[in-house]
Order: sequence, then structure tokens, then C-alpha cells
Amino acid sequence: MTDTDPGPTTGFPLPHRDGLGPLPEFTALRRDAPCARIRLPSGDPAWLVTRYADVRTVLGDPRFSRTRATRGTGPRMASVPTLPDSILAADPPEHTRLRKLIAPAFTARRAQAMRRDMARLVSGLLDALTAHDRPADLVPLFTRPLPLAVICDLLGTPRQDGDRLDAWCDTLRNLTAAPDAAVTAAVDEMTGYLAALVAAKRRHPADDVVSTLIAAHDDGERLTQEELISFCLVLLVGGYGTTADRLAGMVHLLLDEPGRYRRLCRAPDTIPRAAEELLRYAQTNVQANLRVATEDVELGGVTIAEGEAVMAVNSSANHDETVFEDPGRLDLDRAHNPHLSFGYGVHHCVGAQIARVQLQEALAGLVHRLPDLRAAAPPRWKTGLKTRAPRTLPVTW
Amino acid sequence: MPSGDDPATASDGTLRAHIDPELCVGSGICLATAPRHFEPTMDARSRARPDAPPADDRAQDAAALCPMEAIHFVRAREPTPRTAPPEARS
Repeated sequence: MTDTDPGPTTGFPLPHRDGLGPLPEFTALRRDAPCARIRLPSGDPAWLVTRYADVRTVLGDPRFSRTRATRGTGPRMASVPTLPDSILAADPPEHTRLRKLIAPAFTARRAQAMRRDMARLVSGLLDALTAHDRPADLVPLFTRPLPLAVICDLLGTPRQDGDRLDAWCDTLRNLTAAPDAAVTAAVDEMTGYLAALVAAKRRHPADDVVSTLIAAHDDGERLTQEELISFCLVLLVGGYGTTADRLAGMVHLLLDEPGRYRRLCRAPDTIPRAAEELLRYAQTNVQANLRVATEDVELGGVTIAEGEAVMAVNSSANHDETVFEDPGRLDLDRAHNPHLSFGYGVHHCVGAQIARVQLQEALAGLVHRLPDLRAAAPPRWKTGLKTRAPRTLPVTW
Repeated sequence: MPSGDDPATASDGTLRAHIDPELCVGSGICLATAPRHFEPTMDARSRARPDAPPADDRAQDAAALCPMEAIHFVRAREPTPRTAPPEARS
């Protein structure tokens, strides 16, 4: 904290609440203190940014650096370093070099070309689900295995390690649930796992993203070994854990008010728009990847000094009353919906287009095959993580 | 007459970026990658700046990173000043 302006400090992390509904702390901050001082789990101070326009500025403006929040000295989210060689820690032009390697595999066109395979995966999972005893937990039977299969097929990695990946994904999203040593251990274990996969893939390259990255490392020296492993890790965690949590959250929101689910059953052609609204509404992220200002910046009525940390939360931006009409209402017909659920700027989620197609196909399969799907009991929720998500989703039909 | 003297053919065409508004989803990647070439629109999407310089490596990077493949390059004449008015020429 600077000694010139101590200022009041807002509580962070927010107290845990089950569910994905509006968070009153963010609502109050948007109204009263859109750029609020917080103290990070590391003990370092930061600015918490909650309004839509300010969040877009932080995410899109090169004066806010991810590299300075992850490498060298400076304010940190946690006291353990995680993945300083990953694309998430890179600023342009280094970020551009890394992202260009994989961008062709993640275009909207490629995602659309994957739609039929995804529909087939959905269908296969629903065949197994409908043969299952009722009630059943949709998380292990549907919301996890679908994204696991999609990302593993894309990367060219084995599908059968889901349980280990689940544990690592959650630990990497730790906010308060696990000690620092557990996070470090998970990163080490996952790094070792991926190094072995890369070594195996190097002997048997194929038409997949990991092979593309290996070629970039081996042939052109366009990628260091550390960058290669970190890249695989980020793609796997993002493609699997994040998508699985999002899908489970979406199904929960639809079943929580059965009229929503029935509506999609009646009008499945509205699923793409409904999925965007579910992405907007769900207050999944209760924090954000830290950035550090590279120069003094005026934002939200305060001056963020060079070297200070900034956390711009997309969940809060998605409920900004000046951008979204009646933001606390889940409106499956919402037409104007420039949500920031996939981020904004150079770090905009590389898997966004694949996630969109996948979520659409998952919902389409559910309403087509299980029009009587309903919650059998309240979900249990993950706690102490950077993102909120159902841990279980008991359903019947 | 040397072609350079005639504004109609003054340039054999520098590349300028263009964003297909039907494809843009407003990821903001191009704005952050090549801010001199692109700007935000009122509806939270992106477009080419009317005053953008000729496309360079940064603009090409933005096109390579666009998930919608919405950025294309068109050959356009340099924004050469219009032919000077007759009185100034005399």
C-alpha cells in the first residue's frame, strides 16, 4: 500500500455463496467504488475494477501488463508463482508470437466444422445417461466428459485421465481452499504429466494441436520447452475444467427455474442466444487474472499508479446496469448482449468459439433427448476457488 | 506521363485493413494488437480506423489472431491529397 493514500480496503475474496446469481458486493462496488482497494491473498494491495467500461479498458489496454503481474518482482495474486512461461503471462509482441501458433485451430470456422462430432459425443453420453439409474449426477456423466473428449481430441491427448485432471484443474483455480504447497505440487504434477505426453507425442506426431506446438519448438525454435508445456497446460485446464464448470452451471440455471428449461425444449432454435445469456448472467468468476499498470492511468475516478496491480472482473462487468437492462434478470431473449465472459483484448479466450458450439450442442442434445429433465436435489458447490461452479448436479427425468 | 502524377493511379495499391461487420463478435483482440489500425464501434464491435496507416505487421497479426477471420486486406489508393485547385497550381 502506498503511504500517501491508505484509503479504505474492500473485503477480498468475497464471502462464498452457493449459486451463480448476482453478487451484492459487486453491485455495491459498481455503484459506490468502481475502483476499490483490496488486499490479495499474497498480502499485496490491488485495485478491484467492477464497471463494464473500466473492465474493458483494463483487459484491452496495453498499459495493463500481464507479464508484470507474473514475472520479476511486483504485486502478486498469491505467494506461489504459477506458470510464468504461459501465454497467459505474456504481453504483445511475445503473446502474439505464441497465439499465432494455435489461432488457426481455434477459429469459428474450425469450431463449426467440429459441430457434428460434438453432437455425436453428446448423443453417446446421453445414451449412457438414459440407461443410468435415476436420479443421476450430471457432472460425472455429462458436463465433464463432453469437454474432456472435445479438448483431448483437439490437443491429441488421452481422454482417460479425467479424474486426475479434475483435481489439478480445481487446485490451479485455488483461491482459499488449498495451501500454497498444494498449488505448487499440482503445477509440478501436471507439468510432469504433460512433459510425458509431449515426449510420447513427439515420437508419434499427428494432426493435432500438441503436434503443432511440438513442431514449432523442434523445427523453428519458435517456442521454448517451458512455453510448450505451459501452453498445453493452459489449453487443457481452460478447455476442460472451465468448460465443464460452465456447462454444469448453465444446466443448473436452466433447471433451477424449470420454465427456462421447458422454454428451450419448446424452442430449441433459441439455444444460441440463450447460451449467450447464460454465459452473461452466471457470476462464475469471483476474481480475475491480475494486471500491473505500466504507467499512471486514470480509471474509475482514481489514479492507478505505475506498478500497481489491477483486477478487472468480467462477472461484474456483465451485470453493469449502464450496459445491460435489468442485468439481474436471466432473460433468455436478451438481444443486446456484449458480455465479457470470454474476456476481452489479446487474452480473449482462444477456445471461445469451440466452447460456444459445444455448449450449444450440449443444451440441444439435452432438450431433445430429455425434455423431462429436472433437478432431483440441490447441487453441492465448489468452494474456495476463483470460479463458482456446481460440484454435483443431481437430476432425474 | 508518370503514373505518380495522376491521383487516379498514384499508387498501385497499399493494403488497408477491413473488418466484416457481419462476422465481428467484438473480442477486442485486434484493438489491443493493432490499435493504430482498429477502433471500437458504439455496439461493442471493432472496425478499421478511417485514418489508419497502410497495413503493417501489427495489422497482419491482428488478422491472424481474429477468431472470426473477419479481417481482410483490400488494395486501396493512398489517401493522396486531392489535385490542387487550379489557382494554387498556376
